[in-house]
This record gives sequence, C-alpha cells and structure tokens, in this order.
Amino acid sequence: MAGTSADTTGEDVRADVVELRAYETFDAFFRREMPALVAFARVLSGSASADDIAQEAMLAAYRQWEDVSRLDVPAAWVRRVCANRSVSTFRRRTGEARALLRLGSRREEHQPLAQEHEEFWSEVRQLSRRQAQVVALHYMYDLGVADIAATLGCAEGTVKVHLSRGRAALAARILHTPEEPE
Amino acid sequence: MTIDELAHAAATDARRHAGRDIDPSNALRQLHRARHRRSVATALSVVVVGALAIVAGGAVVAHQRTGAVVVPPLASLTPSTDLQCSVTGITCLGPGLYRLALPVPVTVAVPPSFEGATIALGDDAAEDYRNDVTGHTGVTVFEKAVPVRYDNTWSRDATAGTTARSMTTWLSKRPFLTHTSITPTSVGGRPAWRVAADLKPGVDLPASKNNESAAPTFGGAVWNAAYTPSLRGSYTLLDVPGAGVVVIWSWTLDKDPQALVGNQEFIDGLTFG
Repeated sequence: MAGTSADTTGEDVRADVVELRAYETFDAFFRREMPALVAFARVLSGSASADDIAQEAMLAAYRQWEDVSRLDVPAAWVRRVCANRSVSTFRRRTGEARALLRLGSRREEHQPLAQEHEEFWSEVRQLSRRQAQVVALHYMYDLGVADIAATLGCAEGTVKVHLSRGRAALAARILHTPEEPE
Repeated sequence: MTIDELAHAAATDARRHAGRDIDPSNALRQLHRARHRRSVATALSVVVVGALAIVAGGAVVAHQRTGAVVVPPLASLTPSTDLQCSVTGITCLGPGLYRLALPVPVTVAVPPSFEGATIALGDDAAEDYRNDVTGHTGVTVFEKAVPVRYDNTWSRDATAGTTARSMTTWLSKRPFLTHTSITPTSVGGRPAWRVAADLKPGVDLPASKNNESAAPTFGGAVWNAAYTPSLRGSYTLLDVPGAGVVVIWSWTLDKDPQALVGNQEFIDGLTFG
C-alpha cells in the first residue's frame, strides 16, 4: 500500500495503518519499548530483579508475538505482564532472563535516582497493589484513565478511584500536605 | 512543589537512568541467540520422535530465527481489547470464568473480590489477587508441586512422600511452623487437606524470597513458595491425576490475617480436568 496516490481515500489510509502495524517486527517493538519497560519495572518492583521482570515480559511477548502483535496496542499487553509480575509475590528462578539482560546492560551497577525520586517511588510501592500499578502507569507512560483501564483490564471508574486515592496518599506521606481525593 | 510535579520529575529521572543502563540492541541480540539455541535444541529432540515432527520443528526454528511476524490476511486482523483473553494459555469462558492451560486444565470462577487478572507462573502454576484488601493478597495454584528441603537449595525433600496426604503430614510437621492445623476439605469435588500454620518465632530462615529471609515449602520449575515474617497463609493439597499433587496456596502480606478469609471463595471456584 505504500506510495498511495493523491486521491487516496480514507479507507486506503486506514488499511495502510493496519498493514504497517501488522508488519512491525518484534525487534522494532523491543527496541522502542524496552528502556521504558525497564524503568517501569524498576519503579514498581523496587527490587534487584526488576530488570529481569522487564526482560521476562519481553520474552513472553516474543514467544507469543503472532498473537500479541495483532492487539490494538501490543505495548499495553507487555506493560500489563510487567505490571503484574512487578508486584507479584513470586519470582521465577530461571536464569534465562537474568543472563540476557546482564549481557544487554551497559553497566554492572545501576546508579541510584535522586534521593527525593527514590523516596517517591518507594512510597508508591507502599500503596496497594492496584494503586501502585495505576500511579506508575500514569506517570511513567503519561497514560490517561482510559488507557490505564485498557492496560490493566479494569473499569475506568476503578482507575479514577485508585489514581485519586493514590495521589492523595502520596501527597500526605511525602509532602505532608493532604490533598483531597477528587 | 505539588505531588504531580514531583511524580513527573521522578518519572523522567527513572526513564533517563534506564535509558543509560540498557542497550536494547545488545539485549535483543542476546535474546535472539538464546531463543535460537533453544529452538535448535527443541528441533533436535524432535528428530527422535519422527519425520513429521522434524518438519514441524523446522518450521518453528525457521520462524524464530527471523523473528518476523507472519502477516495474516487483513480480514483476520480483528483487534482485541480484552488483553486477558488474548493471553496464550487462558481461555475466556464467560464473565469471570477462565480456563487455564496447566498440565491438567483448571477452570476458575473468579469472585468479584479478585482482580480476574490471573497470570501464569511458568507452565504449571497461576495466581490471582484480591482487589478488596489493602495488603497484597491472593491465591496461587501449583500443579506438580515439589516439596522442598528446609535449606536454601529448593531441592526435593524425599521424606515428604508423593501424595497429597503424605505431603500434608510432612508440611504440618515442618520444624519452622507452629499452631498447625489440618482440615479435611474438598476442591472441585476432590478430597483435599488444608494446612494452616504460623511461622515459629526466631526460627532459622535459610532461603530467600522477595528479598526476605524465608523458610521454603514447595518449589516448581519457575516458582516457589515459602513462609517469611511478612507472608502468611495456608495450603490446600489434593491429588489430581496428570497434575501430581496440586498445592493451592492462600497467602497475604496484609498485617490483618483476616485478609485470608476472602481467599476461600476463589478456592471454592476451582475445578480440575
């Protein structure tokens, strides 16, 4: 469909979009999404295995790429897997993901964030599981309520409540200036 | 500074750090190499099975080498917005009703107090979480559960036996537990035993779980279970042909042990086979 002429109809343009999305390779997806996914896993899990979690989510997408690539927003799928695993009580003991990311890492030891930022994310992790996921998705990806709801598979009203309560709790704990939930 | 301003600054900082630390191209190359090696190994094992399987295995290898997307006809590109139902291994049977492709398939009737965001832990376990309590709380279902030794090796403890009944007795006598009770029950119409206990204060915690010292109980290919000072729960064990001993772990990180009570509804909604 490339090189459509000047009289291209709206339908043709829509077909172009669908076709381009279908042709996106896992490699392109990985390069675009991976750094942000690692950041997301780090702030949400706060554990030494955060990078593994991101890589495991990508491995899961890789194994199911035929299905995942056909979703409206493949990134939402991998973010959801990452969000669930980041707050999971359980950790995989396979060494595959760890080895992969170690080799892809530019440095052995990660530099810490600024202290006030570390403290912010630490407080986010003290929120309830769902509040933490909603807050992290909102700020790390600049996602709105509808996109967060689609990512986590819950109602928009639920997201609004969690986001509002999460913000209020963070304001009270960090700034000591209670913010009224919306 | 408002909480929004602080949050945006913290997010920018986190993204910048991850961008500096991670080399996506290098990580991607390693991923392809690892998957290629695994695919080749798979194909070689298939040779033993027969010529037809070789063809199928070769097709898989060829696809995974390229990492390319098989482009379906445009007509079949029906976008799905239900991410849960698009996860391989989960079949959506209706509202709140899922079938999980564990070694023996499990049907889960998810109560409203659970998220319904069941996630797979490898090929033989899955878990879901409560949405009505503050502390992290949920239920994990393990098939082919392996009882593990009271050390940091996560290796099989042969003294536990191989049946749900023998593992129930073994678990109830773990030296790191106290206030232990065994309750006969049933899950999906199958006989089962529930073991409830508390972690004995001051005991040695030789393993590690969730960055906490832990007393291990069960392990699998990619998962494990344990007691930690902040993680309490109960175990329900049953025999399911094809799935070995199934362990249903009801757990909570909530300070209020009453948080566990609502987990029973999830367990009551499980059927195997």
